[in-house]
Amino acid sequence: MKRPQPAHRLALQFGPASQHIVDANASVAKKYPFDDRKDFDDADRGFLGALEPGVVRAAGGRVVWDNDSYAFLSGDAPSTVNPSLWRQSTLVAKQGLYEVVEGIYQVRGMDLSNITFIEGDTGVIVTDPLICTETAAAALGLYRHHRGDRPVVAVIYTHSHVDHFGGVFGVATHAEVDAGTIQIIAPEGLVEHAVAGNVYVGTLMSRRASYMYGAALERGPQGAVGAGLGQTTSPGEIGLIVPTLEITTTGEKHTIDGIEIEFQMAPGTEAPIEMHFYFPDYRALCMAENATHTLHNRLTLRGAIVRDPHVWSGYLTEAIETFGDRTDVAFASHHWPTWRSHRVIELLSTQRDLYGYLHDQTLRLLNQGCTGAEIAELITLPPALESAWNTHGYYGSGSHNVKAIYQRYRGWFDGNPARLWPHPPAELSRRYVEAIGGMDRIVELAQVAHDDADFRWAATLLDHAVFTDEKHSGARELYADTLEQLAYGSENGTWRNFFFPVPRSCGRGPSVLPR
Amino acid sequence: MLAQLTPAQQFDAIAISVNGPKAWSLDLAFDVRFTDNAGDANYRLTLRNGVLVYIGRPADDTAAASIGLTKMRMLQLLGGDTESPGLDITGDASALRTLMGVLDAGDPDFNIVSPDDSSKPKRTPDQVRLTRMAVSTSRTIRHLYVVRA
Repeated sequence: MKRPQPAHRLALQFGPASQHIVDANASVAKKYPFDDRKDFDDADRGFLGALEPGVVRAAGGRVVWDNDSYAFLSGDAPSTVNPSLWRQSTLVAKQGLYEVVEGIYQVRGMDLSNITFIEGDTGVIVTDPLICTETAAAALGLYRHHRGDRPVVAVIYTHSHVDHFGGVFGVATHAEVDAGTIQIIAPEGLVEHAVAGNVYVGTLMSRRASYMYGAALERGPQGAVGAGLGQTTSPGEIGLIVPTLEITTTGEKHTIDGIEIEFQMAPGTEAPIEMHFYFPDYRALCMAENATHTLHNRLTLRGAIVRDPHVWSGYLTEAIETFGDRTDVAFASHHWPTWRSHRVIELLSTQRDLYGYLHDQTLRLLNQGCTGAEIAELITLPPALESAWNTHGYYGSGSHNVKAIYQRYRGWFDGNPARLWPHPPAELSRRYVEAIGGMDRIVELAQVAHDDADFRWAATLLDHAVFTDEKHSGARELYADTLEQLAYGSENGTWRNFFFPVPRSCGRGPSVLPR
Repeated sequence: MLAQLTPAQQFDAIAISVNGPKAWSLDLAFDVRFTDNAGDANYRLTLRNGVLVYIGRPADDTAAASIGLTKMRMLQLLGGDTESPGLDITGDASALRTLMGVLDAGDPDFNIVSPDDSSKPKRTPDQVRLTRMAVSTSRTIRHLYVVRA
């Protein structure tokens, strides 16, 4: 599987933050406990060394990962970045090899995801070999530089998303798997789902993912600062070696290279096929991607089948019951680990309650007659949850998750007959523009909304304007500026990335400009 | 249909009617066991952060109240009935009333083609629950009768 490469990064002309956004961001800095530094201690703990420079290239010299491009992330947030997202990005952009416990190591900050190395009697078990061959090979190199030239004896894929298997050829070859010197371990059904996701709707997914992860966006205070879950995706060579050992049952145990592993199946959570597992020898728990330091997605903005919002919390409860008391450290395939049993239980419980709350409250309000868009504005998190950094919507958001939960149970139709068969976007826009009094008038009204800091309304008006006449320079210019303001205020990394890439005019700038 | 709910689904039905903001300062724990053939396993229910969580686990003394009941009595409880006989509660009985006090029933005649009319006196959750209790209990009984027949 190879994906199209952007020719170069988008260098758009971005304007400054409006006074309203400057003030809004300043109030965020006062609202949350920025003096709570526990996450920074955890993210730095066990640091053994970084890849320097933090750049990974493909064979031809093309850059597929450049963590150094995030070096601007330090100190206080500039006015053009939400301080909460700035804090998250500062944590996520840390790059290097880290000791989780003696015998378990992670390379973080070398792709969207983490790669984890678990040392056995003779070699090393690799968990989640990143997105592409190049970054996975670089991570293995960094690990070996510090821990010696241990052979890879097994690869575990925690779930069916590409950032957890795509770089397998960076750590293993077909020949080694065929010869039985490397086992590939995965939850049952992974290949089917990985292929379905990437092939059936792969074109749409790649196109929307390019907006969501902002891989092609210029980085900086007025550009991409990270996607909340990881910094961005790596555009390298993707591969998949099919599993030689499929895990099917909760409670199943296997001993790999002398290391016992106890599995918990968690299908239908963050991915259709996913599992958690526990290493009794290390008292360490791998939570795959189901307990991270962000509010995750029920429906990712790149597009996917809506995830079951209910079973996710159930599997977290089961993980707490099964492993909580005997876990000294929990790690995941994104973000930093959590040490000590009571803190692990606290993290898992907080994430469980977060997902449970969004689910239960959405259903309660849905049964009161509210639609997804209405519920998204109504739900407020309990103060005890909101005060935990890991509940913030850096990757998922409360807003789009609530709409997704509504969609999962009730579909796109909200029951209102007028919304059953409206015109499609361009036809609707043409009529709105005409009704409002023409292009110049709608842009004038959008300017008023923009001046009043009602950027959401301005964006709606300008969406109709651009869908009616995309060459209208006033509309285009104001549209770009409006979405930039939304980007600058956004706590969500993927929202920020989505809001950015609207060119100010047609026919100018690089050919890869989003359309 | 309600009679076909498993214990887990019955707890789910409670969980999705918890009014989050009303409940989020509460910290309650219950042990619930079914005394009829619906299974005699104990379930631990906790309400914290406005979220009702359940798990099969042996009873212990960390629960505010321990409740023994039949599946049928559970269905009545789902309808809001904390008073009728058949609830074997040890411990703090007021904890159950506290839980029941933060449950919102659905609104069976919500607006669709016009926005919510705030001038229309909204029925209180209690009124809604009482209506629903009457409806669901009679349906349940009818359904149980059909199932048993």
